[in-house]
Amino acid sequence: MRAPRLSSLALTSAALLATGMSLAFFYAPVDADQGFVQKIFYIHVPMAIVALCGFIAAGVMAIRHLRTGDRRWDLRSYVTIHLSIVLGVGVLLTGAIWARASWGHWWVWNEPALVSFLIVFLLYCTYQPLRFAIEDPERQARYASVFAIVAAAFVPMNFLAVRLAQAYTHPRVLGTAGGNMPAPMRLTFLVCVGAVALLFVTLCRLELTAKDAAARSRRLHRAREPSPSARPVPVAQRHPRPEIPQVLQ
Amino acid sequence: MTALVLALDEAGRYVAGAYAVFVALIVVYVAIMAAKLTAIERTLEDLENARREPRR
Repeated sequence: MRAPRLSSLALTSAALLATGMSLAFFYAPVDADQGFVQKIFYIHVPMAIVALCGFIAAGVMAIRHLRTGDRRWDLRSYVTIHLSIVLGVGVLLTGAIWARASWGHWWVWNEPALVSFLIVFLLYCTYQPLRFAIEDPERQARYASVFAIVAAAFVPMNFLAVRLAQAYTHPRVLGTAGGNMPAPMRLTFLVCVGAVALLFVTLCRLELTAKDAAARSRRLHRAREPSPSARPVPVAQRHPRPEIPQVLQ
Repeated sequence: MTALVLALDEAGRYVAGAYAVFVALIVVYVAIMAAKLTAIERTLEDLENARREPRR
């Protein structure tokens, strides 16, 4: 049941991505201010939006895990954060390329949008070390969920702080007035956001399927191994040697 | 900071670089997932073979 849905999701996201890229290069007009470099916008901004939404969604899943105690929500939260970090790497790299082309620098430290995204990204980079530092699976899932909720609350706060910052140079894309993009650019941008979002969902499902299959194969392995009581007792254990007291030197 | 309008060939390199980063990320991610799924498939095959073999 799951495989056809995953394959159809993959095909749809590939088709939507191809449509988005075609619109970006052949339909959307070249920006009068930045020129051809502005085409990076159609991949950089959708990735940033989907990554930040992914972090918030992971927080919501973590709340569901803590409320229901269902470990599947913790797994979903983990996979969503993992993929959002992957997209975050893409946002930072494509942002650096765009900054170099537009501003002449790979990174600008006094730009609030860049630095705030880096802070959010670094915050989530601590999620996996924190998670795998805890051995007990129950505690691991609980602590990871608490982290995901607190960090998810930090994402919109960070976004608001950037919006309220006075001195900014980063272009405003989604304002209260709907931005100042011409209609072809807006349509292309929305298709690209939809394509990246669908790709995100597809990859999430792929990773969840892989994790589910791995867990099943581990369970099968464990079921095949004979239980400790059923194992034949070694001869040495059946007739234990008398304990020899250690001689103090 | 005012945006620099680059010549199309120079701008093209930056745009190609940005899109290549995106494609590379997806390809690497899918390749890692495919490797993991292959390993799981191998494990399941081993289990299947072990099930077929008569137990001693």
